[in-house]
Amino acid sequence: MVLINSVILFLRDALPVFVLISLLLAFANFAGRRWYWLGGALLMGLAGSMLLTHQVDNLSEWLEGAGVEVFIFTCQLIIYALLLTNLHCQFKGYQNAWVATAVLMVGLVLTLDGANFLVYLFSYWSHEQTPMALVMGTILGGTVCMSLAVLLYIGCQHWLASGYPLLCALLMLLWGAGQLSYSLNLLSQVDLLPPMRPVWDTSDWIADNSELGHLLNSLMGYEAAPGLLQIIVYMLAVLLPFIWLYRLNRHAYPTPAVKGEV
Amino acid sequence: MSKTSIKLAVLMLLALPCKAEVEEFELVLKSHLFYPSKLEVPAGRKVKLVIHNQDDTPEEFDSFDLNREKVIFPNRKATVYIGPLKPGVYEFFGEFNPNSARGQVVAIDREGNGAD
Repeated sequence: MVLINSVILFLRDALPVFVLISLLLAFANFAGRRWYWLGGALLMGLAGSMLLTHQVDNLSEWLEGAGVEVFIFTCQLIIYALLLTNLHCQFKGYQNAWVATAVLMVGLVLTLDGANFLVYLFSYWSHEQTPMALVMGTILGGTVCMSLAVLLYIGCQHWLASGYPLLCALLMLLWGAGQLSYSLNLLSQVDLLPPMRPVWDTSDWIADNSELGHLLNSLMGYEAAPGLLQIIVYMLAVLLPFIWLYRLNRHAYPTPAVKGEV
Repeated sequence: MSKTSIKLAVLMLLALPCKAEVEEFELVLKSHLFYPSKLEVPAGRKVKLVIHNQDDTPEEFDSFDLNREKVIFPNRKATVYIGPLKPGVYEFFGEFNPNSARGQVVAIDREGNGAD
């Protein structure tokens, strides 16, 4: 049971990070950027997640118990702003700003998701004597995440090489909107937003707790029963920047025939 | 007293009963088990759930049915607002110990109808 639970928790917490990194690496590779920035981002994320794990207990007591939710929502807002800036830099060709936003974005996402997994990890190690199941579960979860990330990376590389950078940008926007929309629900659970009454419920088709539900949630923030505010924010967070990028793209990218010169 | 002050006072008075109407329910987590394991709440109303973790390890209160997840640290209390719920049964579990820490919120309407 520990093995399965470790795999599920690792997938839930790590898959969004793997998705983001594979999308960024596809863009970086296409633009001929080196991958050194990823090392800095991972270091920042690991340090951040350890710091947050250490402080999250106190953070949870802030704002009459709403401290963690408000903190996550604020971070998600920052991550979304960084994502928009990163896409803008990608289409405009601003190298340094692209690297800075990529590092900050991966660092912040890893901080949030890593801290969640570390709380579980430390909790388990503090009272269990056999860490083998936990280690195996983490390795299995990591392998699944890595496989999906590689597939996504190859897909994005193909789209970029075929002259469809907007498809990759759309995936990034869906991912960012999903993260933002999820954090609205956290505010609702501590009564800082009104209750989210579900507009529809697709649990019978794809349940939130199914494998596909977890995967779609990590890729594009799928929720079986979203509230109206979540849907509005999600649509706006995807459509408005996509229209803006569509207009930018007409001037930024050459046709596939001359792309090899970049 | 100005008109604005009176309006403000009336608004505050109107807001008070709204806050007071949120009923509070308590769940206790002990030895990785939830007590009570079946919690009855009124349907159609927002309710406040206070979860007291009496274990010496953290636990994550999680429910796909209620769309809620919150980590509760050792010997701490955490508050989660749920609902308004339709009459029915809503499963919840402790994500770190899903085998043992399980329970149900049963939303019952005024006539006493809940799902079995």
